[in-house]
Amino acid sequence: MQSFVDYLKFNAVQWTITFVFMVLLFSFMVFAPHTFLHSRIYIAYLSTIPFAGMIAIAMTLVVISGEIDLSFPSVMAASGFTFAKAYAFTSSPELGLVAALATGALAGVVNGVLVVGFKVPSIIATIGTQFFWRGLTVLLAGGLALNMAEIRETAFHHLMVGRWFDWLPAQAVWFALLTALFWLLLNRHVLGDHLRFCGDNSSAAQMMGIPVARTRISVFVIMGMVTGLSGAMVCMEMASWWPTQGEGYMLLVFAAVFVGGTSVFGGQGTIYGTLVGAIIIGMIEAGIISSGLSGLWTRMVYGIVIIVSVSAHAFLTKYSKK
Amino acid sequence: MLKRFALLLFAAFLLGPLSVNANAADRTGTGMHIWFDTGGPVGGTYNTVVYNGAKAAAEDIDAKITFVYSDWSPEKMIENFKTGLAEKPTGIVVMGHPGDAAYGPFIKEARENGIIVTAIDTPLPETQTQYQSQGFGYIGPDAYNQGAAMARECIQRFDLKKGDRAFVWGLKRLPTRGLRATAILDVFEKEGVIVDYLEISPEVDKDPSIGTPIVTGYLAAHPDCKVMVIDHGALTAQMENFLRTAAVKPEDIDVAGFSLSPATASAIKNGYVDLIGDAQPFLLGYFSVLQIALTEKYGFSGLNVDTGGGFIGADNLSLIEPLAKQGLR
Repeated sequence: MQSFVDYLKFNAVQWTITFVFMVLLFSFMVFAPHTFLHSRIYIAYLSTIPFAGMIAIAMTLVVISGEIDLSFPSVMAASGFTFAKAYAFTSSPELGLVAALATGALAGVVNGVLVVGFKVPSIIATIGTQFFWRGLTVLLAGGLALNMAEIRETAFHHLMVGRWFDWLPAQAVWFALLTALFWLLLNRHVLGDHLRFCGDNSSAAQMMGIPVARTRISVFVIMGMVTGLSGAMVCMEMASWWPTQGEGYMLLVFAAVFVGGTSVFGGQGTIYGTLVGAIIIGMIEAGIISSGLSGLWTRMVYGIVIIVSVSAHAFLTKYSKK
Repeated sequence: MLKRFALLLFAAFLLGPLSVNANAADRTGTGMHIWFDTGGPVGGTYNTVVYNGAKAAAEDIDAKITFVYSDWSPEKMIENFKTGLAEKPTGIVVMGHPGDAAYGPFIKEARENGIIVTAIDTPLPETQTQYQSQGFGYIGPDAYNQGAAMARECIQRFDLKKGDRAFVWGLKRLPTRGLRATAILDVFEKEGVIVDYLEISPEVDKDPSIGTPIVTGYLAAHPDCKVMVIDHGALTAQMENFLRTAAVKPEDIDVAGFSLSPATASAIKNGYVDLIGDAQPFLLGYFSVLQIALTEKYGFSGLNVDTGGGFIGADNLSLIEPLAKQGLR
């Protein structure tokens, strides 16, 4: 019994976020049974939540390491653009994906060098790179959207964002695999410990012999590559690229990370929390509309969920340390 | 031979600049500087077409043009206007979103300094009344008329009757732009159509890919919906994806929206979008630059041009689609 209480106490943040999720889902099932007791809405969620969810999972590692990356919406647009252009030139979505990942990695290296090499605080460095990548992309695109309707006919489209067995969005499978990989990385790989130590106290981590600089640059590169992957997948799903791509993801990603219980001060956070946070944030708007409420309620409900979650996390973290 | 060649060179040296000057003097906007607020963000779908129109006009009349971007923020538009005043251009083209009260004192200051001002996209009726004789015009759609025309076209084309259900997804919260959605609702409600209105959230406004579950959720809750009117260009462009995810077949529902983009053209071809209201944004840019130059040179008063009368469907798409790819429609 004691060990069960200890288990609950040790995982209080994760239990809280699961409870919030269950309450929301139950409410939607009660108020919108015609929508939430049928599979169609869940398939829609499986097709959209993975894009923001992937970035949120990667952002969790960044925040745990004590950094932040505000450039990801622009990196998403830049990666999506290189994907679209590479596809237009070669008719190969595989090469497009390689180009998008390379663009994301490059953006990550630039962020990492600015933060680690030039000692610019990440919040400032990534504001700068956010403007840079967006500006460069729009300049190269001439401000025009790119349509890729024919990409829907390729096998690679089916592999990445198609509907497997005629119902399962492939991106949900990739998201699940990526989430599992990142869980292993954080909890069963030495990089996870390094990230936590860096986020908790980078000077102490340095003294302990942890390669702090390499770890911090790595986390930005991982973030960039995952953003690139998400950008390319959004392009494939939508069969087009547009210059403002990624701009709507800022709130969703950070809300998912912090609702999920990751500490803004670094050193603490869970992949499970962010996963549930991403699902909660991703399901709210459609749930409200299906329940018959005006869309004007959406932001207030977002606010309530975020306030309740982060307050509960703050209280429980304090309580569990006693 | 050498002498003849030297004479020819000498003649070219003398006449060359003269002919260039003569050509330049023929151009309406030579020596003029136009400060142009495109309204939206750098690379925004709609305002890039406006930009292309203004750029084409400036090249045609040989005027210098400076573009600024306001991310559709009224505060930023005012800020850009103040910066424009400091530059002392020949004329300033504004988007009217901040309204008469906000722009009033600054436009007065501009006129006192001899700077011509004209509005596009969203009218400034009080300011126009005051300064129309001094070149203050309005080029753009009348939001309410455009919305009402769209609703009437939907009723006619899709055979909407009393008791039918329609979904309208719009931006009523934006002061003048919101009149388009208001007009659609007014006409539908007057006709007895049951309307479900949904305000577009700021996230969906910026990134239409987030809108998928909203459409799925709505259609699951209201399977009797007959028509969807999407008062947003980028969302209209993604309706094919939204409906595919919601497992709705093209013939199951009629969809109307605004602004033609390559993705929208593709959706029309595949039958997922049936009707597009076209505000012809290229004309906003083109005519407003001409307005400034003509007023400066010949003292013409402000023009009032309603650009929002066009509709695009599968019947006339082939003509317009190539132009959309070039950012002209």
